[in-house]
Amino acid sequence: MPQIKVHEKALAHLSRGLYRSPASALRELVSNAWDANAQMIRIDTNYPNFLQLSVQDNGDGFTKSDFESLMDGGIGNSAKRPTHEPLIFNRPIIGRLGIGMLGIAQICGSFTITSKPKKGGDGFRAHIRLYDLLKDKLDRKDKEVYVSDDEDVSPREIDVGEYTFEGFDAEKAKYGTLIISDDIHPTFVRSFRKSLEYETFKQPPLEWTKALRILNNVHSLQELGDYWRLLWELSAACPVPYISDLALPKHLIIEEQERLASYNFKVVVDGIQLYKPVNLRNNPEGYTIKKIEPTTLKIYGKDVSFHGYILVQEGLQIKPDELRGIMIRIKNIGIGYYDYSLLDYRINEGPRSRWVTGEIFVDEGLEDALNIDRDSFNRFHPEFRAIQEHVHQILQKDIFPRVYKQIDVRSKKRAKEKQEKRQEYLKATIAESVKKQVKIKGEGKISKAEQSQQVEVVQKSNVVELHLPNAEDLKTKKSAQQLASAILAIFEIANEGNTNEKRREVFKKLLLDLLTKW
Amino acid sequence: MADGAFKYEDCLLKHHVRTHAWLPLCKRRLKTIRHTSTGKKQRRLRYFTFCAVGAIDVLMLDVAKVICRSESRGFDNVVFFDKSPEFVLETQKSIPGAIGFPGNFVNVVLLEDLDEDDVVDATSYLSSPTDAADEYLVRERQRMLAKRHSFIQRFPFDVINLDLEQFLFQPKHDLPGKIINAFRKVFQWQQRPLINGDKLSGFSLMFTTQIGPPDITDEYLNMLHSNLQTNIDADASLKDCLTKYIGHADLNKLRSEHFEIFFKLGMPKIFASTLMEADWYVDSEKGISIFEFERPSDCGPYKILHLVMDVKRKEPPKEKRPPLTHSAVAQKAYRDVVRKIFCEDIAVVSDGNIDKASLQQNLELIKSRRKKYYPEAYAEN
Repeated sequence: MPQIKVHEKALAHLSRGLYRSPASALRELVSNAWDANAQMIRIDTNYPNFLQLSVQDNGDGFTKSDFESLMDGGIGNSAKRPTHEPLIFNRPIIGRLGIGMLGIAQICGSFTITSKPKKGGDGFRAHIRLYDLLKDKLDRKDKEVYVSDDEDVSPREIDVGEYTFEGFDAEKAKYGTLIISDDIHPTFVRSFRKSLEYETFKQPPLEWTKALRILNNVHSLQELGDYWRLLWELSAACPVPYISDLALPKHLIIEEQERLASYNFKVVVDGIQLYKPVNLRNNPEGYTIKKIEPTTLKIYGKDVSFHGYILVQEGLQIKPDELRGIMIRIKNIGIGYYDYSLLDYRINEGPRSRWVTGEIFVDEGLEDALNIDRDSFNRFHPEFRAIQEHVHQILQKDIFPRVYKQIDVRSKKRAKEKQEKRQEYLKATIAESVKKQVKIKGEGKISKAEQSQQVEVVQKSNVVELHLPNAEDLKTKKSAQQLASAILAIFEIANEGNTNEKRREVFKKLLLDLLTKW
Repeated sequence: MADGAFKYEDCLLKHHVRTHAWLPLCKRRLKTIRHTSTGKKQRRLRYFTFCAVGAIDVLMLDVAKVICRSESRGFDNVVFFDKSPEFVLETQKSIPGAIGFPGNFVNVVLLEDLDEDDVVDATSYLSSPTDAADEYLVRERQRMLAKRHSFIQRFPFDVINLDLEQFLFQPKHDLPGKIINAFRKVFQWQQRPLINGDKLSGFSLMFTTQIGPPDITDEYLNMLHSNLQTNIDADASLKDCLTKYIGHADLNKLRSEHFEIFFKLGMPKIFASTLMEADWYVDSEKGISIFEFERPSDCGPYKILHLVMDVKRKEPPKEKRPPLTHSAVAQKAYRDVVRKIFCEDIAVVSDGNIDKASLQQNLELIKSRRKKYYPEAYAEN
């Protein structure tokens, strides 16, 4: 039977166009560090100059021969990758496509990699240079990239760059892996530097708690620019803990936090230790929350297990915009961005959808639904569909009905408060005019039965008693009923004047005063 | 900029210089800043250094509260250069927030640049060119220009620590040497205004070099010679100083028989002259203080000179003076400084005249500060 093959050019292109943002490429290196049992990964962008980029982890490192094997066609070839032993601190293995290290090619053209393995073997230092204009060269069948023109050699491999070993001082080197780029693309440098010149730009503090305060006060990360976006995207995607157990209300993430903290994994960017960019507390209208307990679905015979939460910040848009929606994490790594379509939720919830944030931690399955960039999903994959339906059920049957109830409660409360406030305006306006205290009969406990259709004014020595009609019985628009009742009241007060002129004058003043405050 | 097997930061002779020369100089500068600062918030001291990876100098000034960290951005008032990208990375861990420039300082400063010193927006060099391919050399040129202009934009500094630890005069360089030419640029950039528009009335300068090199060329020796000769011609009393010091005033003899003394007299004056060119002068009150010590190495011991000085702005400035003239105050100060170089002894630092115990204690205190900022450095490797 004839086999279906993919042209090697398609694979070579991957080394230059796989990730949609620098954070996505760096996230792959973070995943590598996690899988290499690192307890810390430091990413340094040389802020505020951005003249070099480095990624250093204190993980297992790898040997010179591992490296040679990777370079010799091992990128993207799982058969050439060593099998994983269990990771420290019971970490789940993230696994990878194998192109992570070369993913940095989207940001820089050459870099130095130094690795000192913890488990024995020779460390090394190598300089990697990726060919410029690779895509053009592939199209031209340039000899620099084509190893052979022989179409019959199968599978063919393509040179995407070259490397040379440099002097390695095993004594001075630290355990783990260090990648330093020396050819950061000027476009990257420029966009990051430009973002520091925005009027709305703020210096990122070295403490994430302080940085979060800035992030939670902007509508969108665009206001802060590309550098802040990098920080935010990395903090959102990396398997790091929350800023505290109380980053979300009602101890929603307490177990998650305990689990994430137990992995002992730190991500430090330019001296800032990152935590998840979530810190939602003290919303005056409260939160509607749904904890998604561990759930396992059987899809085509495979288990898809997940848990998580959905949170609605009542009456207040989530800030920044990028935190709106649902983030799906596989083995704790965020895939893409928070999805503000709520995984293509079909019901238009209007502004209320901007109050929603949530995370779904997928413990098993869904990896097959990942697109090759690991940044998005095949949205027609059955495993993705299963999670999507589950989330939509929660939104439709549980979350939003509760949100609408809350809205109703808040509306009634607000209407009552407004009504009381306006009654106070009325009293104050009349009191100022008659220079007496004003009492509305049955104030605070007026029953319909007590109220007549007429306004009655009872003048006492130092008190004026007002008997107002039942506003709801006044035949006008509902929104105008309370105002109508108030106008009738001031009309009666004005009517106590001796002359038409006096009555007109008092009524005019009372009306204008009332409307000023209304 | 220093590297090698020798642990510079643990050298107590060097630490004596740090604590007895650098620290008092920086404290004086801070006092001047505080004295002249206007407005509610006092300006923080701006520091440029070639600090080695350990950043001991910065941490010493941090411990002594001379360098004040920003509450949110740490050492963002510290700028440093290092040839090695790895060292830039390591240094930034010890002094978080500091602004590091990777690359060869001299090459970056002296880069051929059409815009020369008219500082333009550094990002403009990073725009995609319309007439060049996206290739390494094109990108490298863009980055170098951006780096140079970003560096210029960081000027001026209140304290400049040119802790080179190498030879000032390198035989492979044409006269007056690339390093001197780089310093010319640096002193010129020191004329840039601060963000608030103010200009520095002065700054403090520290410089370190080895005595030598052994193969120093005649061109360099002639440069030092003619410089010394000019001084002696201008001030007859210097001959007496010299005779008192070495028994005669014959510069040719001094040059051939006592190169070290010849170098120690001539080199500091090159600095004083270079500053004069850039419209600065060395404050004569303390002049140029020179500290010397010997350091062991695989190729035999070598001598290090540390120079520290307060520098003042010439008044009136160049723009308000006839060409090729100096202000009278600056000229007098220059003569006084030269006389001090001729007549005053260099402080020779040796194991016998330092307080090792207290220096060690102070060094430990400084290192413990680094541990606070960079605890992983002390974790088991």
